Amino acid sequence: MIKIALRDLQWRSRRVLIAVIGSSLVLALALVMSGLSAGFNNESSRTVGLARATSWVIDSGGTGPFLQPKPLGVDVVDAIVGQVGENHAAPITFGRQSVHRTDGSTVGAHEHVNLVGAIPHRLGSPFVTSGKALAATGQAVADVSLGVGLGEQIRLGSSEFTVVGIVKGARLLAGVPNVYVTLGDAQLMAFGGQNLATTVVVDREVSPPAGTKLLSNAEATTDGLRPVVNAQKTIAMVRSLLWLVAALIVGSVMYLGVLERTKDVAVLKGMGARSSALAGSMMVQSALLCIAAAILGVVLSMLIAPIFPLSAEIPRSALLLLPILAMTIGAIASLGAAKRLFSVQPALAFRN
Amino acid sequence: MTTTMNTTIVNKNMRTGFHLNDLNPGLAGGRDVHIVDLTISYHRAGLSVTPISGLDLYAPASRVTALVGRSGSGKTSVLSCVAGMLRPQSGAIWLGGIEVNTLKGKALDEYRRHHVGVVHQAYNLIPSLSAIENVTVPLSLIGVPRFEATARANDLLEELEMTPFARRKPHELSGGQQQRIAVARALATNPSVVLADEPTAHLDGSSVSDVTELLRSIARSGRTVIVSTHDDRLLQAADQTVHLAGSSLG
Repeated sequence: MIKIALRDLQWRSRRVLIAVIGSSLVLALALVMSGLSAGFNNESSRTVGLARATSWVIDSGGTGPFLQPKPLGVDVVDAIVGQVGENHAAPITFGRQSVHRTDGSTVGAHEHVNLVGAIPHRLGSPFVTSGKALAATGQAVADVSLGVGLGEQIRLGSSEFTVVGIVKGARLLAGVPNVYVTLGDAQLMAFGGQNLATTVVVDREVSPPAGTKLLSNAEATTDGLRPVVNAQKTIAMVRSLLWLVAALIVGSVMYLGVLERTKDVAVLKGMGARSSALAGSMMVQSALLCIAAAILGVVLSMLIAPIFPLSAEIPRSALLLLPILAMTIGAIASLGAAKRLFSVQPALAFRN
Repeated sequence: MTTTMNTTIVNKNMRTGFHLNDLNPGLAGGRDVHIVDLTISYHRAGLSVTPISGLDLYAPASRVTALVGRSGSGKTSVLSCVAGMLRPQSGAIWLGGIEVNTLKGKALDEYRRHHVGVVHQAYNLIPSLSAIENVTVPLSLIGVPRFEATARANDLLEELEMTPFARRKPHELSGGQQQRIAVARALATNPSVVLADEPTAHLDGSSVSDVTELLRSIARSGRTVIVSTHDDRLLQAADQTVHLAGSSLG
């Protein structure tokens, strides 16, 4: 039966190839959708991770450190720092700021960045992947996605900065790159020089002062995802629809295959072939088709993902699970064909 | 509502000769096909059709039995029932000691695999398989190892002078060649009975005489051969002819 299944795939190779290409493209898009959704999650968790904190103290009226954070006064900051010391607590600010080159031209496709103000060498100031860490006023550390090089001058708002360090993957709010400057520089741009912070990051247990609350890294990550929640839901829906389309392609190819081979199926049943064996060979066909589509889908997703303006970070687990998931979907989609196959009467072989 | 069948059996002289193939050990009760009071009904286009009603037929082993009658007279239905592919409304079909119409499930599958070979009017070869692969299909269904099945198929193709065409796909063969492959496939498992449905319908003159001689050879090997046909040339080669007449609609 397996040999017949393989020969049949060869016999219908052109149609099978079209089905494989069609479903692989759909699977590739589904993978990219997974990558986009994972990209949102990753950028938020990386931004949180770069602060090297375990907890985030924010105003109790705010939702988190990233979305419309309410400023904390110096007394609150001092109260927290006083509990665990300067090495284990540091104020930071988070906001949006326009970005340009010093000649007024845009920096790549970016008009805005997430501006993070941090005290150099303390919590909240990121380790860089190239260049130097933030050390003094007038310096900036930028995410690689901003597309600026070390030593380049950029204008944030009306102030000019020199890029001294580069970090990777520090983005938030759907691919907007983070730029880190000193807390003082950020306070000048955001609060007119007032000594305010939007968050105090800590890596020790602290008691939040009155009017503040403590968030975990997970809660801070969730806050970074709030603006993209609907986008992620939409992506999940589109991804489900893509899976459905892939299933329909595989299912229709299998169903048409059985329809075309009704006479063959009847002849084989007339020879004593069991319906279950015939259905099994059809499932082998479906599995082979799905595996081929999944492998091609993975390759195509690698080619397609970089074209997207948003970062599609396809999880390795998704790549590994794809063939299994595709086979499962293919098997479910082939149930209609199997039902049809079971219903074929061997006496049909005698009809001309 | 049914009509009475008009059935005539014409016996001709028995022929003996060389054995085309070895046969399986004899079935209990022999290889004769015995049909008793057979009625076949089915529904088509919302109508109840009864092409066969009360048919008695005895097709002995080593003979060619021809079923003749106009279209719709039930020739193919009788073959389908003997092949175990169609369940009759009533009556009994015996192949030796096997009551075919009572078989179900695995027993029916085993009967189809081991005891019946069918040659269809349109040959019904699997288009994706080569000639020799088509012949090995029934052998693989009964669990014959691939090497042995291929050797057996090669022997059959050689006997049928089809060795040069063994690797060709059905669409690369003429009608007569496809018919021979279909015959080889039907004989692959050494069945006790060979059923042929209008085996000469799509063949030219020389191919008809080839198939006629082939069916006679199969019968001479001890098998029971039942053929449905309109072809006078094939009728002349039959040992007995069964005329089937009429069908009823309800």
